Amino acid sequence: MNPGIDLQGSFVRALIDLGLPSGVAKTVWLPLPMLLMLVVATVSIFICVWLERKISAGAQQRIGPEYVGPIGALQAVADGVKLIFKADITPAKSDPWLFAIGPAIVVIPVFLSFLIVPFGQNLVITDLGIGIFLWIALSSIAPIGFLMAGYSSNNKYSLLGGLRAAAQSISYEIPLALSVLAVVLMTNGLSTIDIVNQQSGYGFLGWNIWRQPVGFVIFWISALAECERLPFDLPEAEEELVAGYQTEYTGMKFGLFYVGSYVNLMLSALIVSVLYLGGWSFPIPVETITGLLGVSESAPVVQLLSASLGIVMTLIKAYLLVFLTILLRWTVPRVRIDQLLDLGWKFLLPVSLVNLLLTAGLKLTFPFAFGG
Amino acid sequence: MNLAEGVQFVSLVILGGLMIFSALGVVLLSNIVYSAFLLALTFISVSGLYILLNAGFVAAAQVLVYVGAVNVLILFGIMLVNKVEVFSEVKNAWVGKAATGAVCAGLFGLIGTMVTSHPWAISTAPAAGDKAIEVIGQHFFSDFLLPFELASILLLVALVGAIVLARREFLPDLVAPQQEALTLPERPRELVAAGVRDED
Amino acid sequence: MFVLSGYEYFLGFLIISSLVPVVALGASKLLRPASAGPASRTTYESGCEPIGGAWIQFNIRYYMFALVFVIFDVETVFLYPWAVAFHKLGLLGFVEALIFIAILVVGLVYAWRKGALEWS
Repeated sequence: MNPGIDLQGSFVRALIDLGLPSGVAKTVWLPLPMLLMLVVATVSIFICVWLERKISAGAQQRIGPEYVGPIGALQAVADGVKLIFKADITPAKSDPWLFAIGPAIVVIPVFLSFLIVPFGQNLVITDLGIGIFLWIALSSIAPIGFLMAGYSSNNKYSLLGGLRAAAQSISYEIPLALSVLAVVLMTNGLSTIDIVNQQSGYGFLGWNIWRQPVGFVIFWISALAECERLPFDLPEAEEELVAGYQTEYTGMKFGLFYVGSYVNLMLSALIVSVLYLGGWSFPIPVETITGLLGVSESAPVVQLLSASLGIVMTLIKAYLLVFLTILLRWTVPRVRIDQLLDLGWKFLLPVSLVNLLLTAGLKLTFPFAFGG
Repeated sequence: MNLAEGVQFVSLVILGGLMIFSALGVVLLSNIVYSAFLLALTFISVSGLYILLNAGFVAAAQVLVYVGAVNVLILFGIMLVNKVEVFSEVKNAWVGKAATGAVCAGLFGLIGTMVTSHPWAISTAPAAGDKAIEVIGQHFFSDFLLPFELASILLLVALVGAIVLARREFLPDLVAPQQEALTLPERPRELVAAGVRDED
Repeated sequence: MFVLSGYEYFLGFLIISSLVPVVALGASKLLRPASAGPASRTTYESGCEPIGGAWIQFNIRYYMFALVFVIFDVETVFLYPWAVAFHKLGLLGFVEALIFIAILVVGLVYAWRKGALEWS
């Protein structure tokens, strides 16, 4: 396996050469990938919001934002600035402490999950032993935040929206975890790096989507429901609940929910691309291309190119999924709450259990094709 | 003490303090909703302690099961029955409180002496660390096979019991006549006959 | 003795992501105008004057779903070690997991038949 470029190793070595002790050099390195990832996540919000508005406009034969920046690209930045400057209203009857903590509880786990999103062999903040399970565990904290926001507002719409959001989130968590489990079964490990490496080798033919088509569909539906995207945006169904648990929120507290939902969308798209679409791997293996061109795979230029290609591939796959989500938004109508719960409990849960057992059976029968 | 050990010590102190104070809050606060949210904080601090004890998988499972499931269940339970009720003052309430405090202090002392006096057989084997989840899996299917299968039966029994209790179909007499869950008082309206014409 | 790897990044990223809401709300606090009068602080109820509070009793429907969810969440956690160690367990592991899941499917069928998964 191509080791890829090791930024951490080179950076730490450079600092040690400058005369720093190795402990200090590692500590200096520590915050850099995290801050970079934070910037990536924040920029992805702006891109996602812009895409959402432009594609929605396209779907409705409008133009969409066009005045702020070239082709309206800075519209989301303007929105963000506006939110920062808005007056912050805490309703008189609300519980001010819980009201302020609620959005933070929704946002923090989403950002923290970026810890395990890989953009290349070494381009990940850290390859934790529990890997993808960290994301599953962290995403289960969100319902607490929804309930807190809904309860503390002391508004009927908010409470109903918060209860709905929590019920929806827990209903789709089991199918989500079970379809991840099928991928873990094929990988023999939880590490996101291992999951991508297990898919590489045969180009796009080796991606998990061919071996886990059912799991992919279940995961995608569940991820949409977890992100509260249409057709599953019941918690904030505006015709019924005004804005659900966000009804009383204004200013930056509302902004935090907004940030949380878009970062969560981006995170889910990235996780789908890691689990099912080969992560950073190019549709044709890089080894094949370098072999055809007759250049050494370990040459610095080739390594740099393949690492950049990996980052671009991960982002392209993720944004393709974001694009699909937005198209889906304008294609399918919103489901009713009973349909939503029926879909989760009576269809996705049994199907994902069958998919899991089927994967285990296939792995026993054809060990070479399902990760030995 | 190097940097890593220092960070671990500080984390231990912070997590321990957080756990104790949030647990005290769960018990002592009068607002039951606060208690439920502080319970989540307690669970999360426990999960942090598991990480310090080299049990990454158990820590994540703790968050998933206790914060994500059990605490949500508790919150649903509280929010669904959360009616503001005015209780009448109990005379001599301090007697009950003092008795409770004495019993709790006694229990604490008992457990405290047991913990300090018991010769704990601390394992000297190296911790499994990142491989722990695989080791757990292998134990589930060799020497802990029966407990593993019994766990599923236990879960089944818990599910059936919970459904029976929550639906109360065997206790028809105890079900009070269903009250409207959410009633909106109508304002008295004047009967207006505007625009009604019976000429045709 | 701490043997897990990578958790220094976990701690660091936990601190950094916790700073996100703090920084966002702090910046907003410095820049935003003071809140308008008491009228803007009333509870929103689609323009009507709010009737009663929201801290009242709601229907019990959601509770049943949370109950069933706890059971299946625990099941999922039990299955993760199985999936990771499956390549070493072979056919026996498959059969055992089949029994484990089958017993819980009985529970699912029971909940289904008893109407615990109905919205009404």
